[in-house]
Amino acid sequence: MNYKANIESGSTGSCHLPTGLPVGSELLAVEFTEDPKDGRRLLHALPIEFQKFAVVSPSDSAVVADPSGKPKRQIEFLTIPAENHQASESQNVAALWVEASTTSKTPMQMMTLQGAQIYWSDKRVAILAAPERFETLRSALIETCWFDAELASLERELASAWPEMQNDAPMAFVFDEKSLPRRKELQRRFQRIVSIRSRMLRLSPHVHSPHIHPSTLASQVAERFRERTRLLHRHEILDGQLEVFEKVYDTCGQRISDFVQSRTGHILEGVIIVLLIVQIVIWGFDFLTSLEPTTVVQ
Amino acid sequence: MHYSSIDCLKTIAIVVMVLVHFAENLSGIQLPITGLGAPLFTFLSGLSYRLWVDGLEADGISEEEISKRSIRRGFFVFAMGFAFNIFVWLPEDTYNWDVLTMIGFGLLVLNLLRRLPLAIPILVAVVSILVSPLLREMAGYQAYWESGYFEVDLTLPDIMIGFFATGYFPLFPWIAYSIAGLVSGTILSGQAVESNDGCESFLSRSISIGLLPVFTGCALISTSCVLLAARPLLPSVLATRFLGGWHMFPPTIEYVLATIGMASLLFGLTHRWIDRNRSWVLPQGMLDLTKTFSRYSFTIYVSHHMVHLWPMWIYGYVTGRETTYYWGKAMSLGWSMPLAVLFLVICFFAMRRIGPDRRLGIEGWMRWLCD
Repeated sequence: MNYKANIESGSTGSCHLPTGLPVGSELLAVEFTEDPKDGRRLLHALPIEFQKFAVVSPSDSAVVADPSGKPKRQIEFLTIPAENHQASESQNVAALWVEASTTSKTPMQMMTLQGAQIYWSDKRVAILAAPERFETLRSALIETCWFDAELASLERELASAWPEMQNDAPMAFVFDEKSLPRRKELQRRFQRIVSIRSRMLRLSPHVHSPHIHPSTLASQVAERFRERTRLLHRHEILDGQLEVFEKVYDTCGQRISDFVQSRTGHILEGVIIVLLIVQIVIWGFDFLTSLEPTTVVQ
Repeated sequence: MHYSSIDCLKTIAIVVMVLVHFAENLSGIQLPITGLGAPLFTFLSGLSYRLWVDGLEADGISEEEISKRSIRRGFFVFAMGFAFNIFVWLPEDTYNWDVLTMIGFGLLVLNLLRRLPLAIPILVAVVSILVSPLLREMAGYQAYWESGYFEVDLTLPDIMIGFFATGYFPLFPWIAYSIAGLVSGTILSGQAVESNDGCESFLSRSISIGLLPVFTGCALISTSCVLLAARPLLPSVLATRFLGGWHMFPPTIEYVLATIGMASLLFGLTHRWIDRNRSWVLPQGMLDLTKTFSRYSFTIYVSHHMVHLWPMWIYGYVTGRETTYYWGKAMSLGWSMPLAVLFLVICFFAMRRIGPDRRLGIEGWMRWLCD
């Protein structure tokens, strides 16, 4: 989607360029795909471990669903040409545009750096800068926005798993025959925790990356963005929380494994005991039938 | 967990048993449905036991307490069976090993089996079915049934032999019904846990909608049919000593397989159509009624014997004949069947008046004494 500023659309839709912006302004809805060769304009390739590419979204809708049914992660980028970000009208429009997407939990953030001004929320980013800096700034912001969104996604996923984990915790201590039908359920939850850990570890080098020297505008913006969104602290907190889950599900896995192994042995012992009992019954029955009827019961 | 399907099936079992017993004891005629009520009733006792244990576990009752209650209940029903034999069938039939003694002893066995992996109860059930022809052969079954009913000398070996193999409801193979019920209940309750997770396997979905019991039931009935059809072609040792054709007395392998299959099939179908779609299959009033019948099934079982046997014994005694003189020849089927229906109608109104939530009758005594 690509709207030029000289088109006075007047629309207030989420993907329409706001009115009152200078020529050269551009609004792009960016989404992340695993396949960059699908004809869409490639904006940025995320670090290789994520296997994701930021491309221009082809549709008008702000949020679309991927084949798995989950909403696709999508961010709108508004780039406004500004010399030393002194155009107050553009600033107002950009601020209002970003603010329209905020909630009380995700307020708008703003930073000014080396003549560039950036407004952002978790859904929209507005960049006021010299046009030659758009490309690098947008790439840096796409990447850091992705990290932030990925971490937020992990936080949400883990937060929703607390009640389940508390229900499952007793099985880390006692696992018995009645718990057996829940084995697959526990296995799925363990896999989910492993998946969260794996995604989190892929984020780690980028969250913990030291400042780059010599610094560039893009690297500084990314660093500032990480500070403002508290990526480092959130990552550490998530790490601590995840440890609790891992302990519970690791122990559950160990309990299940022990139980299933011993159960196999018990079944075998049970079979032998049943066969011995049958033998005793037949022997006893043979004995009974061979007795003369002398023991008279009253 | 309470299943309306179990109430409906218990009601069916009671109705079948009332009709069969009135026809047999008053008119000496065996109805085509003879031999179908007791297997269903025994199967449901095992199934209800599993659900009862699950309920206690859900209430946080300790394993030890559950075992104690199970044992007390088992002994209570066992003792009720003896009291029933003495007071209803008269003292000379004390050791005829009726269905109540079987169910009572079955509860003691189920208490031992309930915590074991499913493979063990299934093995016990299979072995009990397979070993029963052998035990009957060793005991000389026909010697105990020369007059067409079970006769036993009051000697310890004969009594024990009756209990194990030759009585009306001997441990082998009747324990298989209780165990089949326990296994069905265990699979069902295991499925309930699994389906909470929202991602059901094909197997658990099949159990949930009642298909697994239906498949199992069909497979057992088919096996029985095949055995019945193939029996003339088998070597005589197998055909006469191991299989034996369609008989309830003795309970042959074909009979046991088919009736366990029938119970499983009926449970699967009613679980599918009543438990899951209860709003339109049966009206609430009917479900309440079957619940009441189910709650008082032991009481109805005992009382229906009392109302048709006692008058017959008394009349025989009063007319100076042997007490049991009129057994099987008191009246024609044209009279006994309306009397059976009348008894059921009276039960219907009595049950409707009592309602499902009161604790009366033998079940009330059992709860008072054992829980």
